[in-house]
Amino acid sequence: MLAFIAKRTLSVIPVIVVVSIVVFLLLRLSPGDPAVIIAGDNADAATIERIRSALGLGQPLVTQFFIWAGSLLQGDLGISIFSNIPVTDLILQRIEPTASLALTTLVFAILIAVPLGTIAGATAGSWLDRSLMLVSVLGFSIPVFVLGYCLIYFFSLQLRVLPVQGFSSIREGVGPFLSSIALPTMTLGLAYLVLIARITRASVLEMMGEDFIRTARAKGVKERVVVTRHALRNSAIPILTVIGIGVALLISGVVVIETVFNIPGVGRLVVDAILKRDYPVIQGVILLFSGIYVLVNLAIDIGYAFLDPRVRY
Amino acid sequence: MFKQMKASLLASAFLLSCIGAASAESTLKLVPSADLQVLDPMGSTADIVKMHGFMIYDTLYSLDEHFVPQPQMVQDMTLSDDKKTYRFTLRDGLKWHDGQSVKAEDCVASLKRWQARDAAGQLMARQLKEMRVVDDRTFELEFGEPYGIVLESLSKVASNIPFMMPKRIAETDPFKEISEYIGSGPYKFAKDKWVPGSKVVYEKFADYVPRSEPASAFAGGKVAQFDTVEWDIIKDQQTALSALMSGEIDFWQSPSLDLLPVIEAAGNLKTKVVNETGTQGTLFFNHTQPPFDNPKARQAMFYLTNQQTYLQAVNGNPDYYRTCASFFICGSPMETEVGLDALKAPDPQKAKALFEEAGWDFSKPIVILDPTDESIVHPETVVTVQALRDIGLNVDVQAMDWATVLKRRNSKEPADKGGWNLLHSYVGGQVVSNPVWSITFSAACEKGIFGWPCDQALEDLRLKFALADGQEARKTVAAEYSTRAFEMGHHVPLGQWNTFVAFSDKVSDVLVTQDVPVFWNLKKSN
Repeated sequence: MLAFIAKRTLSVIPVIVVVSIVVFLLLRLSPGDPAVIIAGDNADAATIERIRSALGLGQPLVTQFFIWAGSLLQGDLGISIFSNIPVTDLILQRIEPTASLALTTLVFAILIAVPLGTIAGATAGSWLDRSLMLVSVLGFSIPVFVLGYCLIYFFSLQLRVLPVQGFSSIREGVGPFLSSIALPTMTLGLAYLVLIARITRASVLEMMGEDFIRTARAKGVKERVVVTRHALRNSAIPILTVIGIGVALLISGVVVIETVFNIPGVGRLVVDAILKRDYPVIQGVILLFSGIYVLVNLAIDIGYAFLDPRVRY
Repeated sequence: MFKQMKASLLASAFLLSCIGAASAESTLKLVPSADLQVLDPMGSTADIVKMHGFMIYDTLYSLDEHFVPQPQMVQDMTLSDDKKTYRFTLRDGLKWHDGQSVKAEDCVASLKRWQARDAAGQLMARQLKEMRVVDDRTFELEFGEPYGIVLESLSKVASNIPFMMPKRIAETDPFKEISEYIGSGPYKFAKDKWVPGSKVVYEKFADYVPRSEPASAFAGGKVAQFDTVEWDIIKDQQTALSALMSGEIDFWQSPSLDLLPVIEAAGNLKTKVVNETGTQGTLFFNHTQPPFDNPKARQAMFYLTNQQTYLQAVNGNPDYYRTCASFFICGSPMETEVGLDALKAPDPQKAKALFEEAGWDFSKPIVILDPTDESIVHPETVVTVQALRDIGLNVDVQAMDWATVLKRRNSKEPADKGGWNLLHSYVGGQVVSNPVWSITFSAACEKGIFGWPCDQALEDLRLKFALADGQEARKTVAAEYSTRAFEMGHHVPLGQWNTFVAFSDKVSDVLVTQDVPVFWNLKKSN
């Protein structure tokens, strides 16, 4: 197992290298020029050229790549073209809100979805099962920004119990933190919640028809134990898989949620950078996202082995 | 026992009073129109950078709401009899945010940096014979011949603005960003609290000495009423509206016009137009590529332009827009309709005839760049496309994002090989308030604005404007410029519109600036 973990960890490196080359080339070959954006509407060609030269954008593409890659190997992601702040600092400034949102969303979704899906699967055809199916259709159908605005209207403008926007760090107190993260978590979490709940339901339902369940019941095991210890445990692998896939959904969803709730996270950082062609920031954040995605998948693979002793690498 | 209780109560009361005093610190929270990314006022012409500049820097002269330059950092100015030498004496007691006194050498260094980046600064530099420090508080500008727009240049609100900074900072290469943000304005920049893309914080500069005159736009006494001014970058309009309605923010710079009815109905919010002249839409030609290398085709576009249609598409609320047959924004001193009858009476058939006179083959495509992510330029483009198609022209509309347009517009290739024929934009009223503030009005061929209009007569008129003595003389030159600019078909003004700011009804004394909002003078009640 240790060899597997080491091998998978090392396999992250070529993925990151390929991602970095693709991102670098995509950005440089796509239209748009940060020097022109900085220079503004009133700049003449000479001014634009002087700015481009000062930013090092006049050098050949290969030279630019090796300068960037060399810095990357030393842990230096470069400096933002616009704010003049190191990209690492910008990411560190923004990582807490994004990580908090992702984590609370995961916890919120899993804590509600797994029990709900399990009960629905174990009581297929009941009112609870049908209700869950209805909510899941709604959850998939409502765009997150629409749900976000609805929640803001109800909780912030009508009841005035939660803030409209912004983020309070957990260092400023658990109360303010939870208050600021509640609506974004609910908004982002709904689609994720129904996805996990549906997979859990389907998986548990499938298990409930298996021979070992019938055997357990024949032995007089209580229904609650049959469902939780036998059916749910054997359904864990598909649930874990969908949680892993959901991380990609979370990464894309975070961008929208951070905009709607004005959360200063990494998602907004990269969108702003793309619009302005702030190359070092885009490259840094995409590398970060790629690394996280690869590591999450690694964690899921390791999780399989713990959940199912038959799985060995 | 009783004494102990009494002591505890007194101690608690003291602590509570301390907490009360601390929480009494006043803060203004506002949502600006964009994120602040560049902190060097010479590093960008964006409005948000200008707003940042006015928070922390001061200027030698400032424009009042009637477009008249008024002394700001300057105490006295004397002009030599031959009108070639200006002597400026700084106000006593001016300090930088690091505690050092403002000196004449700082101002000279700041002007030099500005002159390297700004069109009006460059024009001034060409006429300057010498800029010299006389003593700690006095410096002189000596020109080769009388230069008419010295005070106007020093007080200009169109970026780049000649903000003053300490000499050691002003000596930074004008094309590289400064690394210290120290001014002498009413607020200090709190760099440690700055989160790019999220929050910008300014703190009151206790040593700032406002002028005694009442505030008027950028001129007069700049009284900082808040201990802290916090800019919260909220990009989503709906979120900003909700935050304003719930009281989480006090002031919102750029609500969409669509939201006006909601804001007016909210009950606890107010609106105001702080820039009464507003913004002007513009249609630019590529003067180097057919058909618009021919002045007749360019003139045709004036006859094809129905400003009302553009303004409906861009703004849609007649209370907030006006047609304006003038290159120089209506409401400013240089407004003139001379030579622009075509804009007052659109005539598509005349436009068609001019295209035919220009010898243009109607089956060939005219390439228009269409930034679909730009909420003003895209509707402008749609209107032009329809107008061209209505007279039988073939149009190739190329959709792209704004950043791509900015790059593409510098291409001098033929239109069918990655170049372009037409593109749209918009400019702040201050920028187009006279022919010299910006290269929008240049006709300096390769050295001028994209599209490369080329006309020595216009360039001569720009210089003549700068040298003209007095407002009336300048108005005469502006009219001459207007006539010539139509004859050669420089660019087409598409009308002008206003935006409004929205704020809590607890906020008062918001200044009309004829440009971006400023955050001195205004107050907030509890």
